[in-house]
Amino acid sequence: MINTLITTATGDWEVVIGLEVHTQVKSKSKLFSGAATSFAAEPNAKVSFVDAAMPGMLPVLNEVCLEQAVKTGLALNAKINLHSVFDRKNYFYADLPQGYQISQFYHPIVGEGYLDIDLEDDTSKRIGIERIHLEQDAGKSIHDVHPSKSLIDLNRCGTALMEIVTKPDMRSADEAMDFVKKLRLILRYLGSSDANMDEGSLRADVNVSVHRPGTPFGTRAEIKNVNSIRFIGQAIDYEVNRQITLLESGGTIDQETRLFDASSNSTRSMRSKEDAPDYRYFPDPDLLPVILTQDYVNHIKENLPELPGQKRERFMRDYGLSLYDATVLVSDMETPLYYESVVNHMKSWKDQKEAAKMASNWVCGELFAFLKENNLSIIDSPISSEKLATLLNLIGEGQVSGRTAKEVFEDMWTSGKDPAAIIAEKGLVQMSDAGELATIVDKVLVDNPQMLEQYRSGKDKLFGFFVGQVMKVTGGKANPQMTNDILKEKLHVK
Amino acid sequence: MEIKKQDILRIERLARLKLPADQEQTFSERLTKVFDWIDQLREVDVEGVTPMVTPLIDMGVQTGVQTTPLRHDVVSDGDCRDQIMANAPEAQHGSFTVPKVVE
Amino acid sequence: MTELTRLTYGALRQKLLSKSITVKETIEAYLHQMAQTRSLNAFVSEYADQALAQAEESDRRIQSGAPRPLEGFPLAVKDNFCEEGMRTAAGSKILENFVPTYTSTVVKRLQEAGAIVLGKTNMDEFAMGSSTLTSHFGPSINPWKAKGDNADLIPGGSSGGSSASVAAFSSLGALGSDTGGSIRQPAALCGIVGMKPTYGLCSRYGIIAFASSLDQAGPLTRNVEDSALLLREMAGHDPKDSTSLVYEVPDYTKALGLSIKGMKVGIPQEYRPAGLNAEIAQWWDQTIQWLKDAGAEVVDISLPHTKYALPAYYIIAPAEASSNLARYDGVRYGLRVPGGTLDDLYIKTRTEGFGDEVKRRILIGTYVLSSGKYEDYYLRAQRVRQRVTDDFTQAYAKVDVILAPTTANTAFKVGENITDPLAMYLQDVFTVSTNLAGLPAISVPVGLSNDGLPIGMQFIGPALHEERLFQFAHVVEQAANFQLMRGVGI
Repeated sequence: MINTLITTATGDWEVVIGLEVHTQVKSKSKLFSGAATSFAAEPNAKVSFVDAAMPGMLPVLNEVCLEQAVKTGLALNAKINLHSVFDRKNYFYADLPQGYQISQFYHPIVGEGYLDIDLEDDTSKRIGIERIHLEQDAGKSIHDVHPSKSLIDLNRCGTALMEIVTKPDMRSADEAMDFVKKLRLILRYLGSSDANMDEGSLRADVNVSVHRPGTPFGTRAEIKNVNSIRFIGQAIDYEVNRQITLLESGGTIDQETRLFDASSNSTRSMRSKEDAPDYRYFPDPDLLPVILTQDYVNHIKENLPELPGQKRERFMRDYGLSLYDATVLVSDMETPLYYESVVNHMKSWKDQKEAAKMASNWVCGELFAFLKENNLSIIDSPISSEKLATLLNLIGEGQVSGRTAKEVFEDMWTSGKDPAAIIAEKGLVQMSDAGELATIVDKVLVDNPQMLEQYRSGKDKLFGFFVGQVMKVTGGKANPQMTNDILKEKLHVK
Repeated sequence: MEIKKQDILRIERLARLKLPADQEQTFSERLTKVFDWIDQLREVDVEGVTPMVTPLIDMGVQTGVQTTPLRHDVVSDGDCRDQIMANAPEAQHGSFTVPKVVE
Repeated sequence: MTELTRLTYGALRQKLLSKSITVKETIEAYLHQMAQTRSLNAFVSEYADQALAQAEESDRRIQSGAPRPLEGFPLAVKDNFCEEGMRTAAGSKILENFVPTYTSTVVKRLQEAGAIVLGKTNMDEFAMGSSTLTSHFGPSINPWKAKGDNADLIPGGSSGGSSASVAAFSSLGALGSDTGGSIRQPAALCGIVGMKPTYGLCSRYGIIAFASSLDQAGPLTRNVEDSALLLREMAGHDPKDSTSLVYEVPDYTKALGLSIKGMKVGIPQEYRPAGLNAEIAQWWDQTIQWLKDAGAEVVDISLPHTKYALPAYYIIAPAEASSNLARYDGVRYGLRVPGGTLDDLYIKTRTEGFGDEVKRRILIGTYVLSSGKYEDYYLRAQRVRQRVTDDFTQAYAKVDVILAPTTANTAFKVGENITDPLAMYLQDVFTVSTNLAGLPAISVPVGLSNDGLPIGMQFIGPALHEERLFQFAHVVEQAANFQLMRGVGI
């Protein structure tokens, strides 16, 4: 069990974290209007009369947005509410043309669920999901272009958002960050959201409180609109520290909304406008309730794509990979596709599990290292999955040693040539002729009499020295296994 | 139930508008009267009755309307900035402008 | 020229198709009448040029033998129906300069059927009222006057301008909207036919919203047949309105002239309280007699929750309105009163832009939705609404249609402004239940008070039974033989 308690001079504190994650639903048009969802466009270009809340305009629900919410709920093991309602959340702000946001307050489309995160000690922890609902996104206010005016761009206004509310089950910044990473991955696997924090399609409100273990939860502060995983961790760390310091000096925590300031790595209270806002939620009379059939939900469930957790289990089961290796391989969307393609091109191997393991080693080892160094993602890899498989197959056939193969890999990366061609050109074919090797081994032993003497008198470690000498003489091309066997025989190792 | 002047001020704040100052007091009296009259609704037995947000639900039983109508996910709107901005009281660089908001 | 404006559409169309008159002549006659009756302030905008241009197009179609169902129909439109390129203000200062870049579905359909919009008519601000006295553009005047009294009378509201125009022969028919009686009541006070269809039958797209679950567009006409003709073109599903019914619209005119023999008419006892205006009661009895004469059976029924419909309405309508009117904030269209901060801008704009009655209703609506009040007021009102609706459902198990007065009184004087809110709300007692339940209703003029002012009776039907309403209304129209022209003295 990992200890997440914070211990200070006065004793232990437990941190309690809940998240409200807002993620933009992947769809062509908006939640209630036919304007396009867009990432970057001229201001107010992707705005319909409905989005601009012109007089007499009315909302009509987008069927894909509905489906995406159901998909997300199912992937998070949650209850899909067959009866849900859209409510109006009433408040005034420049980026909210209607003067209300269409959201779901009383009857959200998705109920309770959960997501399991991996802890550092290889155990997993279940983080509860409270609910998920659909709502409209607001427009954008730009405050820093004009000295005395704010500019309002409504392009984003009306885009569908899913709000995913967790239970207050997280107990550390790491758990919170892991949760968001995993959630993000699931959303991408589902295709229900791009979940890209840099682009603003995923943001989190972080609720943080502290309390003495065994006592009721403390008052929480809400840090709004945190838009990177790293900032989530930093904000929590700062906030925990702030709260503990305040409480230990006899103060109390205000239930308030705060903002994370990345430049100073701290949270600060939002300029408090008034007391808790009164949103006057009521069911939107321009819409009817959303009534789903169980058949509809079942159909979506049957057609869900393989999720990261399922894929990881399959990799462990079918490819005999370790939890660690499998986890690494499913940590984005493209890597497992690449990996499986490599494996699929290694069907000639007698021991498929060995092949899978080798493929895993090379993808997570050499390939990742080169990708990272060159700042590339796997889809831009100059070495295709088929080519990598070809190289691995050559290793399997004994055409090239593991060591030499690394040299070949590097050449493949820069030259784009096939491994077989490189091996031929550079004469890197592995030396696997027993007679030839035996001759070389003999020569090494003859050339190093002192070492041989020392070995014979008990320095077993010098075995490696002889192997190294054979490699040196053969330019690394000696078949290592064969070299070992021949050496052992000649040195009378049992 | 008495509706006080501070209730009026609070709802004026929520609604972002003001009655003429001399009407605020009389309005609270007026509202008190209106809500006393509205309170007769308490005489009605509404035990177990679902609030009727729209007549369409009951009608749906007759017409077969079951759920809120759905739209196909196609881009059918937008790209009409000129029309969106046509009535703008104030605009700049294709955006609406308002007094600067400090967060 | 004036004779042209006396023709109902059936007769007008015959003359147009037989080419004894042109649409251009017809529109000119109406434009002339609009000028003659300008002092009624029925219109807030007049579209003379546009109407004449459309008249030429109509004449071309008739010439080429391809007339549309309402070719050349001179139509007035209440100023809460948006029309592209034409100022639409909903009777409010806050939209005084608003020019929509889109047209409401209902107006579009009528135009596509050949109707010609003569202009936009006056209304209570944002449809909140029953007199047009709250209009930023001044009140409209009822073409009727009490015997021996020259005082200006209200035409009713909120579709007061539309009503006055039809009664004054400055339009053949007009569009109105009915949220708590706003088509039927002015129709009754002006001696014309006013029809509120089933909720969801006509699209609300492009109609400036007052109360979303109550608003319905409907026709105001001089006779039942024209009402049926207009409704046939207006009604039907609109994918842009989620509250629009998928429904195959029948030819309503086929219901006219059908016998009502053996059909049952319900008379709700709660609509006949002790203090009911004696003349209204008298005309109610007369109407009942006409129906009996035509072979219908009259049945006493009870709508027990009638009196609770009013307080429920005065919670629900303001609540929805308070939210629907939040978009009028000076940012994207309409009036903007500059402010130092964003909130300042909102408050100044909305304070100056909205009239007092609108502000009051927004405040009431905000209050009943506010934290701690929502359950007690809004939810309770919506539950009572279900009870009111259930009353009708139970009644229609016994009767085919319900007959009741449309208003509690005849038109009162413009200066006789009712300031007591409760007395004002009580004016709506006969009409609001219908809106709460989403049912269709039609008001038909039946006779005159001793003062010579029009009195109307309404039929209320089960959902989507407009044909039945036209059927009954036609019977009463025949029997009453109400002389609009005589009363208006034109």
